[in-house]
Amino acid sequence: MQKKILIIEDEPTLQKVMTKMLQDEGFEIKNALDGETGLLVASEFNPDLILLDLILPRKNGFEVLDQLKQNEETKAIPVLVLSNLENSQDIQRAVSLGAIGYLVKSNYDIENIIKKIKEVIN
Amino acid sequence: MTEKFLESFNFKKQCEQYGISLWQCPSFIFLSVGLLNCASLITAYFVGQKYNQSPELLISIITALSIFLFILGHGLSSGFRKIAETNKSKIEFVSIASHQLKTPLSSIRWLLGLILKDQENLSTDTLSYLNDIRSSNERLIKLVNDLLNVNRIETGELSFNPQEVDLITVIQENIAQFLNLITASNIKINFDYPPEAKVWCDPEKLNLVLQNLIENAVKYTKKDNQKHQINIQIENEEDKWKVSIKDQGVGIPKQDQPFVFEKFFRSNNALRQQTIGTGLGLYLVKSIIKIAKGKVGFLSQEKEGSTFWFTLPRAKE
Repeated sequence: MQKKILIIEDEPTLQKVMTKMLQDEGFEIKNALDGETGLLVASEFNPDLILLDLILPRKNGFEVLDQLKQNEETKAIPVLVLSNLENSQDIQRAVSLGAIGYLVKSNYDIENIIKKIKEVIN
Repeated sequence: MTEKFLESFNFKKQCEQYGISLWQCPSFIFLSVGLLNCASLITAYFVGQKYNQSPELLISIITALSIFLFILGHGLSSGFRKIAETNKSKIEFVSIASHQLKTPLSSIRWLLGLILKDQENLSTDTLSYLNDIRSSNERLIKLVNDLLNVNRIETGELSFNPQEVDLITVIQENIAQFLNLITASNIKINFDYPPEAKVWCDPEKLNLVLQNLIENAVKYTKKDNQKHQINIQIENEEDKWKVSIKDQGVGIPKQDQPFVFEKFFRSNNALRQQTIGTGLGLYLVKSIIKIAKGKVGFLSQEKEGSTFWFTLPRAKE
């Protein structure tokens, strides 16, 4: 069965590149450009993995993560944070809220990001 | 109003804000000097009364002098506050600007990854231009990261999570990372290490130190079409492990040696050899090793090469 990934990312270019790369890998992709929409799509689409940015309009990534984990329908979905914030406080906060991983976007090539995503989803 | 007045006497808080101790804080020193002055004024009055015909004259002179000192001191401490605030806003500006730069830089990096995925559709020229864009983009990302790290060091916000790190593996990984550059520069790397070497350090920060030192050794190796060597060595030093990286590079002129670890410093020698570089690398190395409770230093002779070394505490057993 085709695995489903939800990308919550407000930067159109990053979102476009990730969508293309992951579609080429055979995943079904849905996008959300802000936090509120992300939450809505998450419960309708019921993805196998959520890729979450932290600085987002209409509800930031921390709030989204917290609400995903509070909600019975979405709390089992693994969430991988992809952000350019790299303070250890931010990383710890995301992990304590239930993120299974944290990648700093500017530190990785897209190939490595895709590799990590595949590791997590399989 | 009263609160604001009382707040102006909370020197500890004010000085913490600027990251300096109480004894370096102009407003505190100014108040202490003022109190001392008052005390001497009163003493002078009593002494004067006993030994002097007109203590009032003496006191008026001292009072006038004190007022003058007060005005001077006030100017000094408000000047300091202005400078400190300018510095603080500079740090904030660099931090915000750097974060804002990271998103478009990641976009370019990822887009290039996407384009370069299907290389067979690209002409050799296009491919080489794209690779040039990629290396410029990587340089920019490194610069932004360095600036952010320098900012964090200056505000004392650099995170440091020490743990047991296998020094040998980390060095091998870092050498592997530079393998393309090393081969392209006609350099041979020798790595000597003991059977085991575990240190107590933050692994990410240790990577930063090694990346900077190895990259420098490769960058500044003489480009004279001869095969050159870089020797990396781990040695025992009391309760620490010492890593040294020896190159056969251009070396650092004597007059520049005192400044190599300073922020934004670049030797003229280095500029002749290499235009790439920000002068932040060695400043970061020194700051990180200091936080890790190690030592750092170098030996260098112009035209012969340099040996940079650092020590790190051994992992607790």
